[in-house]
Amino acid sequence: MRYGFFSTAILFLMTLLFCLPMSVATAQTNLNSAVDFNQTIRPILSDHCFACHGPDSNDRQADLRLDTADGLQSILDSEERTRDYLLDRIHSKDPDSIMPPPEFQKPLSREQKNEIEQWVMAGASIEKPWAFNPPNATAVPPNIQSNVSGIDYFIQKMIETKGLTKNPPASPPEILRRLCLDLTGLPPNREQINRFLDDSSDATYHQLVDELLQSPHFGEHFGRYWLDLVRYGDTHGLHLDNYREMWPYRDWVIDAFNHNLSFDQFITQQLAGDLLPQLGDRGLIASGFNRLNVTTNEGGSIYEEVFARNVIDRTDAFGTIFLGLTVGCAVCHDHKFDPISQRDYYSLSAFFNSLDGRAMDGNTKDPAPVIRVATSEQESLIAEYDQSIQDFKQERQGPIESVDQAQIAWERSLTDQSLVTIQALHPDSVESAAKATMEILEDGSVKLVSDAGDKDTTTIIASIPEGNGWQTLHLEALVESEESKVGVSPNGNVVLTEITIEVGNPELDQPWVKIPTVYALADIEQKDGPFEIRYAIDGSFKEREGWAVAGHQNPGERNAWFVFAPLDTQETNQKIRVQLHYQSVFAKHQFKRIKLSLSDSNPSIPESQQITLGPVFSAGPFPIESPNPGYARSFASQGQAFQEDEMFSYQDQIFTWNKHEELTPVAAHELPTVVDRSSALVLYQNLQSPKPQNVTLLCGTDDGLIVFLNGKEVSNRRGPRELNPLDQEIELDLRQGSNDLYFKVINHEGKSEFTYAYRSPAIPLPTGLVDLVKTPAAERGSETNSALRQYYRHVFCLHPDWIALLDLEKGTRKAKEALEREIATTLIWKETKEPRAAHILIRGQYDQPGDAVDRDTPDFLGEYPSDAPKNRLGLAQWLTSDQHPLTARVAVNRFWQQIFGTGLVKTSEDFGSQGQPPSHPELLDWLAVDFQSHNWDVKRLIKMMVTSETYRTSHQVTPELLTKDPYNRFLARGPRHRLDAEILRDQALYLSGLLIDQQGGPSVKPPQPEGLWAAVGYSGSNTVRFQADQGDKIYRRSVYTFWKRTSPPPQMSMLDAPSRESCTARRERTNTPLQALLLLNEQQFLEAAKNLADRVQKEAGDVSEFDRIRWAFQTVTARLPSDAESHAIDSLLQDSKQYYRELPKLCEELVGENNENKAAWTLVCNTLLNLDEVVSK
Amino acid sequence: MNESQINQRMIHPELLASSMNELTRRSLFSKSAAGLGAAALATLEHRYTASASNSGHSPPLPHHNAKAQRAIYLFMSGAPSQMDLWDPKPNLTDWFDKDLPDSIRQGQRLTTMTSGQARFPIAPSIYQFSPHGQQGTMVSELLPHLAKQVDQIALVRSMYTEAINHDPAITYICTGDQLPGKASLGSWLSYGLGTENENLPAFMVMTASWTGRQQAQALYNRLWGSGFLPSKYQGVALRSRGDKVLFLSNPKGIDTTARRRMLDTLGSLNQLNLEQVGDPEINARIAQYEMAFRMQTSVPELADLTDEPQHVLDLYGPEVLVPGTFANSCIMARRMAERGVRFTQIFHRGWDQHGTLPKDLPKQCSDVDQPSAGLLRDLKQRGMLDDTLVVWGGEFGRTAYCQGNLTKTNYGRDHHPKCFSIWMAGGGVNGGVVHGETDDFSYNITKDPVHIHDLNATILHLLGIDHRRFTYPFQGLDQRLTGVEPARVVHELIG
Repeated sequence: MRYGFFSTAILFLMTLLFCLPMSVATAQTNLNSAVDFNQTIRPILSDHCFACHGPDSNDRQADLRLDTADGLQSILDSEERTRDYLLDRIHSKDPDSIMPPPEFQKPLSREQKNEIEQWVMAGASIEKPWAFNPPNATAVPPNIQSNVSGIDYFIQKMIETKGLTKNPPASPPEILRRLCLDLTGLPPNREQINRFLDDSSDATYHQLVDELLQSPHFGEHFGRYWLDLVRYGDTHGLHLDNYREMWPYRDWVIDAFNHNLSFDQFITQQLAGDLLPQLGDRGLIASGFNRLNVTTNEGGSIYEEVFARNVIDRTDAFGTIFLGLTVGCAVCHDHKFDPISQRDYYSLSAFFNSLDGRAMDGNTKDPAPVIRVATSEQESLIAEYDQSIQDFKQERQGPIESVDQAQIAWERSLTDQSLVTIQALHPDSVESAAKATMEILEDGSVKLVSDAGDKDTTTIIASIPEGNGWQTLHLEALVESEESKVGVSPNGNVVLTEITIEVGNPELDQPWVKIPTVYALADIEQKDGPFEIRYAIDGSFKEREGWAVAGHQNPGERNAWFVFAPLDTQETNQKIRVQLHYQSVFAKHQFKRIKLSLSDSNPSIPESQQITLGPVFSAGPFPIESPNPGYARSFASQGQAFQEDEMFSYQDQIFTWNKHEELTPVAAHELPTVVDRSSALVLYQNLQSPKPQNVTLLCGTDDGLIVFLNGKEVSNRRGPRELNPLDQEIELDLRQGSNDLYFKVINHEGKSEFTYAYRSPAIPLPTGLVDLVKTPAAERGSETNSALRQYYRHVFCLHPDWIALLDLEKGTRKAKEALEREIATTLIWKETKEPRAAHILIRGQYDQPGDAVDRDTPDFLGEYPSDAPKNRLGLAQWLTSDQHPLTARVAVNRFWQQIFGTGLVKTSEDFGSQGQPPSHPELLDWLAVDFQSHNWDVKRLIKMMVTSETYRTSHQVTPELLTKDPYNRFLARGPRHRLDAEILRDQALYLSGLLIDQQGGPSVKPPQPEGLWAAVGYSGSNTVRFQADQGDKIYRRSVYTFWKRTSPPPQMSMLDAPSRESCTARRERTNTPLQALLLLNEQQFLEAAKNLADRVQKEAGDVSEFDRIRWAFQTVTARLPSDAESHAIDSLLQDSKQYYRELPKLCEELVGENNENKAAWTLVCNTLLNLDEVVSK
Repeated sequence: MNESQINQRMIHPELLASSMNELTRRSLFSKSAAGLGAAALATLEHRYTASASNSGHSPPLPHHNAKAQRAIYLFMSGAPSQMDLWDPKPNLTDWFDKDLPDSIRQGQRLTTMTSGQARFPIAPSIYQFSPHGQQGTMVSELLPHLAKQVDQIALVRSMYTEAINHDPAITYICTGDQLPGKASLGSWLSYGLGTENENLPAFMVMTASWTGRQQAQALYNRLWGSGFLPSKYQGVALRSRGDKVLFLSNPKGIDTTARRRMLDTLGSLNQLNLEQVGDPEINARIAQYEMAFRMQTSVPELADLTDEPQHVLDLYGPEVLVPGTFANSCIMARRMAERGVRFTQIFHRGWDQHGTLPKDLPKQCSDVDQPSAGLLRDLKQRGMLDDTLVVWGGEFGRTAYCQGNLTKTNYGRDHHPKCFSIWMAGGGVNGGVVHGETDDFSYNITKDPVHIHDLNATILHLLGIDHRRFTYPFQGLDQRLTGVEPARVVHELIG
């Protein structure tokens, strides 16, 4: 049985193969009685001969080329050869003689040989390649012009030539639905259906066309095709495939179509909007076109390779999008089929190699250059913040009375130590909470004389000495001798969990008021836990935190300074109460003897205890291919011992240390960088410390900064960022003796700004400062005064007014940054000041540059305008010149493809000799010239197409048309094909009333099945987890759907949408079972069915079920169903009602309630939305 | 009229369909799905639906007698370390922490992850190798189960590529080009050979879980995408959670009866419309909806392991029943092969051992060792290994020198494109062969280099396809999986 069927089937098929195609063949041969060179012969020669006898001069065999008239002539009619030569070679049976040679694997078919023979016999006329001459419009005869459009004239002419019969006009519903879908990507709504079916006159049709062209949906629909072509996506496309913020460009495209921006401007602004300052931000957004290529930041990438790839990608895209040529074939060698040499290619690429930004994307959403595209609300808020920051900054730099007073006191203390008042406290009382015995000694120090409790709090009360502006409490922990340890515990260590300082006098009804300590310093702190001095002033009494003094490790005394706002001692007889809390888990970790004093200046310590700073040295800048390796790679002696005369070999260059006296603390310095590249600079400073101690390093850069101390990385902050001088505080744990401090500054791009300073009583003042302050303020000069002020304020000042001001500014900056993170950015083009040198890359290899080339365009496509600049603006001028052979042809062909399903040139991405010749060469040229001469007016062009008779013809497929013109290239019938993915989804949402009609904005994420991103994404990628949006966002048009290029939305990609990783000029239209499953079962398609069911109940009116069916059917197809169709649906409806009535649980699962009517209607609507007629146009 | 002439004529596929009336091409193929005739039919169908131009000069497939009817590709994404698994270099023990000689590196460009290293100290493998099989092939102790299969395996120690980073390299080996936009191996096969079972896709993909380094390299849909080929040829993911195939299940509240009833109505409405409009594409759509309905049964049946006897499950190791594991994917691949899926590709991630290789590599190996070996044994015991090709490998190799800190017990390895190891088994492969050699540092190939294009040419060859003649016109070129430069079928691997 099986065999029987099999053989029958084969026999049947054989019959088909051997009979039917014959008739097709005959029909076609008859249609093409005269063999046309460009239509028939050139494609054969191109495909079978040009690879060896074509434009590629390096690989040309026998010095013969068949792509030029001269070359062809030489084998057709020359002294050595006659026409028979060609025919002999293609007919030869000798494998050594036959052309193409057998090893080429591309034999000519008998049909092709016949065609060549016919052509030769008919005189072998040779024509230039049709696409490389400027379009030349054949005039439409004047008597026809008045009532027939050019389109119909040429189409009709061809229909007659081919012996076809044209279909009658489409029915009103058919043309209405086609028109709405083609112009807006949405089906007609009820109002449009009612209106048009009521009056489908020509005038109404024209009026409808105008309305649709004015609808904002026009731009959304037309923009979408463009976005496929230019490979717009919401991620970078390679490796991590992180988010890329570019949607303002998408909105620009939509807007351009809606405002009917003339197509030459549309091209120009995208290519060179950055060079048209009059356009402002709009032009910059458009220039983002040049940034749409996929990019990477993969860890090991070699910068030059990525750079070369980006330039090649942009150049190829330019070729596909505007020229309709596969210029990319000339990356490695001269083009095999079209006359584009490798030199031409790289000359063209030179227009696209000078981006003032890095080739790697940094895995950020906004790799430079970018602009921010703020809403007006955001703009004004930012301006407000900026103003505040400016004000704060000014305030910070200007006079502040209280702070300046403090500065004067400080200056005084510098010039005359005698002016610094330090007063030891003589306690009135001392008390131990654990009842230990304490003793007050003569010098005011307090000594523990009994055994210590495991935990304790020592309370010391003393009179505040006379004087003004006390602001530092100095705690000295004393030892009996240099060898003895500072603590009473067996190991000699101490942990002070907290210190509190209060002022008051309860005896005089002045309660104790806590004085907040703003800053504390210790000469020695332990680093092996939460033991730094700051833990003793943090207000918490945690038993595992506090100032631990390493007493068990090193003998000798300890010092701490606690700084607070200057005390207001107007009140007399005030007392100070100091409590030392020893609440540590470590028992008896208490000082043996302490002494307290007050000072009216910031802490300072004796010269013998001071740290000596060495001069600053720099090595570099070292060029790096991207910031990442700069962070990872080791430069100079970074992190190792320093040798002033050491030399470093890096990338075949020698680097040495240079001394920089000018790199002084506090001031802002601009560090050297490498033009056009990222770079790393290493700075070195030596710190000599008399003992182990902590100092605070303050720094601020607009770059990445890594700091190494004595071979250890102590800080790693990635850039780039805005310079905020001295905003970063790094604790340096100095050892006794020499300390090597290295800064590695990683410059991402642009200039490199750097500030640094130290905060520590042990760090001496910069040389000359003391002399400086001795000079009376009036004589110092204003710059010096302001530098001094800055120095004081940043390094020493702890005045509460100052701190408050800093906090305010910091807070405002934070708020601004948070807002800025919300403002959309978009990638733009910005040209480097000087164009980069461009080279031919030998065999396309990034590391094998050949001859240098200048920016230029291929000669065979017309001359570069002599007055045009050699930049993208000039390139656009060249491209949009009337004489350019391709731009207008390529553009109108793609619009034709959008409307009619297939381009006049089917291979809309390739107008070269390997592409297909146009089905209607005259029409193509006529359209191109018409488009150019009418100011590249897109809406006018589209209107002409959709108002043509050709467009308005019925799409019925008759057996005759199917046989003679299976692909409908000659358009004797109207276009009919499956709708694109986006239209299918939008249509379902629209028909069901779910579509949210909102234009523009960030891309949205409608639901998709779980795990699709995670299944492929790099774990560190910011698009590895998909989180669907909520609310209205999920019902937006598909043009706004978030496009992750390495995992595009399945609802789109399953229906032939491209990944947007490369340029796509046309989509395939496949028909698969997976698509059926999608349209039947996907969440939103089902939701649409449910909502459509609701809509039917609500909107069809109070009519019979049968009429509801008719209403629903008409809503989705624009036509009323036949009786047979209505009955088929009715029977499904009735059966389903019955079924769901019997299975209430199932019913509830489907519609959430026990309502068989709703369930049955949902099933009916699911059916309607899956009709072939609805899925197709 | 010969076959190649037929190809040059544009026969609209639907022309055939419409002339066959009710007899859709699909049903015709399914009912005659045996022998060369069916393959030729399938080819015609694919060629005509797909062909974007009239220059479809590939003769019908297969070009020659296919040794393999189908293939399973076990892809180790991230690049497994060849000198720890398949390419032993015992002499390197003496080279511990000594610098890689310049004479070996020969100025090769390194990735920027190690190009800044001051030194390139050799990290000898800490794993023991021992001889296995009739030829005494040396295999690492990390692969005890695969070691027992070496007589089935043709091991290639001399693979190489030009790409040095993951994204371009994996795109290169899977699609023949480092840049996105080209068709993947599986989509080529799907396009060229179609499926043996119309109720399942021709090309299926699984992404398996892994236990080594969790910061794993990404995959990309393009690795199983169709590029310039129509999207119907793209790989279909068999998923470990949710619907096995996207949107396979009927929504809640629509059971099989309701769906069947609805599809009957849909079919008859489409039929009515066909009578009005005459477009044969409507017929094709009816057929696709019917096939979708059949897939709703065939896919769950495929994924249901309850009919697998314990002794078969045991072959794949303890994780065989854990959804999404490599073991689970392997048995699923065997079930697909059994059902005529042309090409199955399992991507296992986590092989990118830049650091702490001794911590991560054993985990990765234990993920795949027993399941890979089990797959070979299972295919063998069913008599399917003869015509099922199994390929195992990653996108490039790793360096003999250490990345990061080197100790006696810990090291990492950077990317290395100049040599790596893969193996093939079954489907006409000459088991037991060891092909190619590398130098003492597993750095340069010293004998019989095999480019990744050569590997793909060999895979195609085993499936009956001449890679030179297997083309698709796109952007003016006859695109090939194996690129424009000559590639070579490695006949030494073929039995």
